[in-house]
Amino acid sequence: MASWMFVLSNSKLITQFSVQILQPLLSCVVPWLDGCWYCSWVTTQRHGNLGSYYRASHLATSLPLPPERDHLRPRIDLVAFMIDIKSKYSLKNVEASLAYVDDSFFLGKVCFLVTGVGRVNCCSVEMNAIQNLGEVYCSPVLFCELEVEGSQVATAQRLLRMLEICAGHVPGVSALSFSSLMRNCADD
Amino acid sequence: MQRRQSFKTQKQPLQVHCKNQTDLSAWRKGGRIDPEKNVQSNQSPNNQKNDSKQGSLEQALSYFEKVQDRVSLKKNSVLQKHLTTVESIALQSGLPPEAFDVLLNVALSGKLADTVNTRLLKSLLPASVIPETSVVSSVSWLCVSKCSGNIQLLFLRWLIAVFDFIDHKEQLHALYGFFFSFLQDEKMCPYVCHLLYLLTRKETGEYIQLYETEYHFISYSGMQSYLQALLSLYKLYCPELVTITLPGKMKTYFKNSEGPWKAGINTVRRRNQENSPVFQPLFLGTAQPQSRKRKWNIQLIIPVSSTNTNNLEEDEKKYRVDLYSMSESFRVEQLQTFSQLLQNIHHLEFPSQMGSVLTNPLLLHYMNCIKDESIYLRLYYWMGQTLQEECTWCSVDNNQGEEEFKDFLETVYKTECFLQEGFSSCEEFLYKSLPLWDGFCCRSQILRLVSWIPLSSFSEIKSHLYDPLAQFFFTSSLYFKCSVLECLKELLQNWLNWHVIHLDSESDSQVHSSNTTHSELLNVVAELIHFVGWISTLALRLENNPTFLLYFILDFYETACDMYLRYNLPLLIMPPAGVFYPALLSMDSVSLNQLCYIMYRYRTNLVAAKENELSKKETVQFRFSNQTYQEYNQYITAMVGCLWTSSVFQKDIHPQGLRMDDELLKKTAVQEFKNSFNIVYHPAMMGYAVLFLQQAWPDDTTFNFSLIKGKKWNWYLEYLYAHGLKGLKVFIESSINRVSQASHRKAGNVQV
Repeated sequence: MASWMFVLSNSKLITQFSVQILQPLLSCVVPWLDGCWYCSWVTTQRHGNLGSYYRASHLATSLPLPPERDHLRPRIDLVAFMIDIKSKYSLKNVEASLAYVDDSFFLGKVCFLVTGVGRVNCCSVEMNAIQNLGEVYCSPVLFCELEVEGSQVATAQRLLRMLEICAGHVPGVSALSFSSLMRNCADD
Repeated sequence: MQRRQSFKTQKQPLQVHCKNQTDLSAWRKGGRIDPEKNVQSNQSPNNQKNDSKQGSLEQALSYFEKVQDRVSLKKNSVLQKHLTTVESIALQSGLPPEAFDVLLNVALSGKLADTVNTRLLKSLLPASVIPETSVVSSVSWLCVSKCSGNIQLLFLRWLIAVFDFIDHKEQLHALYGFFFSFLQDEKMCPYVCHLLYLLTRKETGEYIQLYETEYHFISYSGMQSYLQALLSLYKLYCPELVTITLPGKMKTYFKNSEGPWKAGINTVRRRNQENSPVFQPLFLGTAQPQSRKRKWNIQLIIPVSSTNTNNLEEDEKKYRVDLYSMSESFRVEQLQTFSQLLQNIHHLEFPSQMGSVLTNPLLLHYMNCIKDESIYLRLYYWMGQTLQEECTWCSVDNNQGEEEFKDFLETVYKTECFLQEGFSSCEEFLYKSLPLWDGFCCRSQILRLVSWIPLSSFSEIKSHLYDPLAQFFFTSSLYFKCSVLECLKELLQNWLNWHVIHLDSESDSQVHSSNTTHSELLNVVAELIHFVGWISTLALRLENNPTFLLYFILDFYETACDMYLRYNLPLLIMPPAGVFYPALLSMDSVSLNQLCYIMYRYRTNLVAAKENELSKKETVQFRFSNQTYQEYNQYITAMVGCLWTSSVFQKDIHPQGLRMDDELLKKTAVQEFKNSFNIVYHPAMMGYAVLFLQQAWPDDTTFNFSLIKGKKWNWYLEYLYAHGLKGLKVFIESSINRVSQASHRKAGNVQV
């Protein structure tokens, strides 16, 4: 499967972009939900002079990435693994590719996005398996239903929020502390 | 009364229309007398279409009446034609009551092949009501077993699906024993259980003894979920008979068996209401003749019988006297006013479709005061099943059903507000579906339902509610965070209100409240407050201290600070430093004012607790720990030092406070750092100081804040109070001792 690269750069504000970037990304991904899995990651990079942000999101279907493009690849801030709950194949491939991700990413820069909860009746992946995955890899699990438009937007906003934190744009909150917040509700 | 009027005005056209339905001859003549209000310009072509349809239906019915054995569908085109006629009319507008007799007889007598019978049964969609006689005769066919097993099962499923459309159910109740005997059949058992569940009334319970052999059979044949449901209902009605303990957790008891007819029934209903807006089943008490009926309202309607209500009463009385000689029970359809409710409160018979209770305030009143567990049980099952089935993010096929689901959740919420307590089925639904929620669908309805989760001493709430909420909280927008905080504040209020009421009722009944449950309740409430403190601290950091968020957080603590005095709950939890200091140093006066008020209330509560302890008025079962007092003292020291004595950087003893050395402060290059946070120089108050200066020294254009001292300081305080800073006022008056009106200001903290 060919990998698909989608780069965007200009000086608009994040809030305006949050819908425009991730939504087409996610809606392009939906027709691929026929047993294939895909791995996408979104990065932000601060554009020095203008003080604005440009975002690049890369979409691929499998890891490891082809080594030829290594020097072109920007710093990756968040890796989001998308699992389709209706396809056991997607879960297996995600599990297989997790081995190719560097350990340092699991300190808060990985999250699992589970889509297809709208059809709980036809899910072939056990919820327990997914929760297990989240626990074993110490990463949060988000649920969404990408076939519903409103849910797409809401999920995109959530992912972008996480991305801001993982990229270090929120002072005082690091990716690691954030992921530990997400995983358990700490007692005082 | 308004309600009566609408009933009257609806009644007349209703009768006209019904007359036509019951009068077969008028109908067969092909003339359909439309109700007066439905006079449209294109009436005649409609009539012609209706005529042709009815003509063909009539032909089909007469064919089926006379059909002989073993007509094969494939070879006989006449049969096919009539079958398709029946099916299409059923889908379009539903079948009239007369058709059911004929069609059921044909389907269940085994004359025709199974394929034909299946299609007939699947097309039995009622336009208005189903006459009971046809159902009774079909049950007799069932007993004779002329048709195949599959057809019998399909018939039972149909009966369950259209149960509410059957006009009377007296004879069906009389057939209870027959249905009971069908329990022995393994395949029919689940559906028969469901049917019996719908049919069982309180009076039936007394007759369980008659069916003892069968009863023993179902008790010992294993705990399938449908049997459990039936047994739990029996247990409610006659607890002495059912000796087995039933598991408390609810599962989905009855499989959803009404699939083939569900969509059809809804379509037919919708179509009929579009065509004749006048003909509507009666709502009880809620007169909404113009509203667009949606699926939920439809399910919640109590279907009205089609015959004249006067005859109905007499017939019922006759039947009852003959069959059971029970005291007459008051049919819920006739309940119109509150006084009627009071008169008939002891023999009120609840409808079998429990969902109709939700929109009926009279029945809700009844539910509130009568300790009939069966009603709660039935409502619990129905609500749990409905919520699970219609939940839109768990079943995405229901895309257009999202609006209806939202309305349904609104209805449930309003009912909970009316009853002032939460439904446990609702709570379980929330626990099951919150982890899968996307945070977007039906958001405000879900959050409002969260605020009605009942207070209980289970510790499930932590993992099922707090964890998913925290996940959403951290990744979502500012507005979502504020909504969650508001919902948690209402949750706390509902718990506290419940506690107060519970306490009153306990003291009335003179039951000694056990210490363990009391302390468990304290733990649950304390856990909630700690949770809110934790997420508030983090939210303030994530969102960079916005005033909007701080308002909601402080609103929560306004409820939490007064628990001892207002709600008689001996618990006092201070806000964490991550909430206190951002509020103290915030940039606007609203937060500061709120914080002052909250600290004042804390002080009042602590002082009252101390007095009670010292005077030993009541048996002291608690006392606030020294740590609480210490925490309060640290905060108050910081606050007074900040706002009044300009000494916060030295005096603040809180471990996460503002204490800083002079050398460090000098490095900031701020000239007058000592009084930079008092009520004149505080960034939140400086606006007021400027306005005050303009009024007091109108000619002076240099803003010389040091002019505000001595007498002018008092004027300044009055000025602030006059501008609505009441919280500041009560705080200063309670926590600050002023020695004299002289210029020397002395602050005294009242150490508690």
